[in-house]
Amino acid sequence: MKRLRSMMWVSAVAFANITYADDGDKLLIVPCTGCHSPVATLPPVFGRPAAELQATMQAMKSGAQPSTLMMRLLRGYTDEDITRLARILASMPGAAQ
Amino acid sequence: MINRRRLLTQLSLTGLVPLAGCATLGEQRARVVVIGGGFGGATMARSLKLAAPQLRVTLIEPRQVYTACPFSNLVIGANRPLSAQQFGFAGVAAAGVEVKHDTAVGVDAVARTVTLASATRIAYDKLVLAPGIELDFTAIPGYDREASRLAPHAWQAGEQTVLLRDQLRAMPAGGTFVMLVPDSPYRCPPGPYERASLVAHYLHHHNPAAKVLILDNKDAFSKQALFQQGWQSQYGDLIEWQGVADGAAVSEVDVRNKVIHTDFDSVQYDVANVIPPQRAGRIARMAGATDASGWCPIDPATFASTLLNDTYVLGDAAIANAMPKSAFAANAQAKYCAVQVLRALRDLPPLSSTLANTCYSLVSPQYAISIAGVYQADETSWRPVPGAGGTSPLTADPAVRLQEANYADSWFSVVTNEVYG
Repeated sequence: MKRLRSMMWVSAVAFANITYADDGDKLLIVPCTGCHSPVATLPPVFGRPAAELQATMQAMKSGAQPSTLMMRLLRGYTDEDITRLARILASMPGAAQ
Repeated sequence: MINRRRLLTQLSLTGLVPLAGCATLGEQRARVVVIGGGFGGATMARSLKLAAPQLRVTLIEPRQVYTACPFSNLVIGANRPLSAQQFGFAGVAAAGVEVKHDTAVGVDAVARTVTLASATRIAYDKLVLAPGIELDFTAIPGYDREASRLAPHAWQAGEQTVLLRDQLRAMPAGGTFVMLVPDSPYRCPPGPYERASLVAHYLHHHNPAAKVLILDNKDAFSKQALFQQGWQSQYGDLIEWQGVADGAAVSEVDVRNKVIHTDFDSVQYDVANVIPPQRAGRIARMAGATDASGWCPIDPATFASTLLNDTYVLGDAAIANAMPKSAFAANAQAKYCAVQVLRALRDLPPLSSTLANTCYSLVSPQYAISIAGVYQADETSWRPVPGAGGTSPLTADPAVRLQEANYADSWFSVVTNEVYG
């Protein structure tokens, strides 16, 4: 029961639990949170170092680093957007990798 | 695993920056009513409550259990239990949302009240309509609600999904499965073709002489080249697709005699899956939020209705232009729109941002393809960002198709945990 309750509690909040409203800048990561969360089986992004995130996104955007669909998405974001995305994602809690 | 998740969660919680500190007095007294507990409405209710805990948020949803459409094609064509698609509202209620299991039957946008089937009337400061779709049972001669009990649409998941699954399993050897697909716009543009794929997956293993015939009321469809390539490689000639130019426009469905009449031909079927044309969910029309198209026009910057004051529309019901009617889009729109609703309550101007959509489709349970799009709002519409988006490559290793299937599965876990967990 304790385990069950703990799982329920975790699942209730495991989602990024992000308030986008407190900082208009954060609205930019709304689409990221469609797939990326602590419960996703995707490479973690929340709380990773900004420099690492920025380098990875730039490499995916250019195609230097293979991806399934991230290249298609990142081509919709300017270099400045990607810098902002990296900064916001890095500031998010959730990284215990 | 649990410990790791708990740790992640605790870290996540410490990062919350609730808005209580900067809430205005007006907002503290404000009430937002959200109609519809699908991906859009439930995301909206929770996002509002998370960002503004003092706000009164009421979600109106008649069903005790929501049955999700994404992945429901696996219930029909593979062995996924319907229960994997079903979610209650305990998580939504635990997040502080007042959940009313009732049906909204009227909106007075001047008095700002919603009337419920139980005859109670509730007042709002802001109203969010997320009613999903209503099927048009007058569009195809012979296909009304009664006929859908014999020839299921299965385009609103639940009983209909199980009915279609059971008909497929009971289909005679070498039988014909016919699917009718409407013209755009409709819920989940690639959905019918994913369904055809998974029906073929079932037949390939259990009834290999059978055939799937798609009669499409248009001449091109989402991810067409990828689907057709996948069908050929996985199922040979099991699936045949016909568009309007091939004479596929349907003039009548005769469910008693199991015949579909097209402009030039008649097709005898064993199982028919009729997906009729659609429009915004009924309450949107009753409220006066729909235009002549049957869908709801919005101000792209905010998702505010252009027809009703203090009202927002999101998800399948909204005219979001290039953004497809998908659960992913509804979820993203809700998070975006929640910010605009809160800003309106605080008399702040809208805040613009880029949105995106990702939709996976299964060609088989281990073979998925995707379409992605990135969108920006201008004065009149949500437009795709040039140079971005598109589909999976036509040439790809099976490992890539498998990886996309795994990512699709991950997406469903993430979104349903977030919205209903």
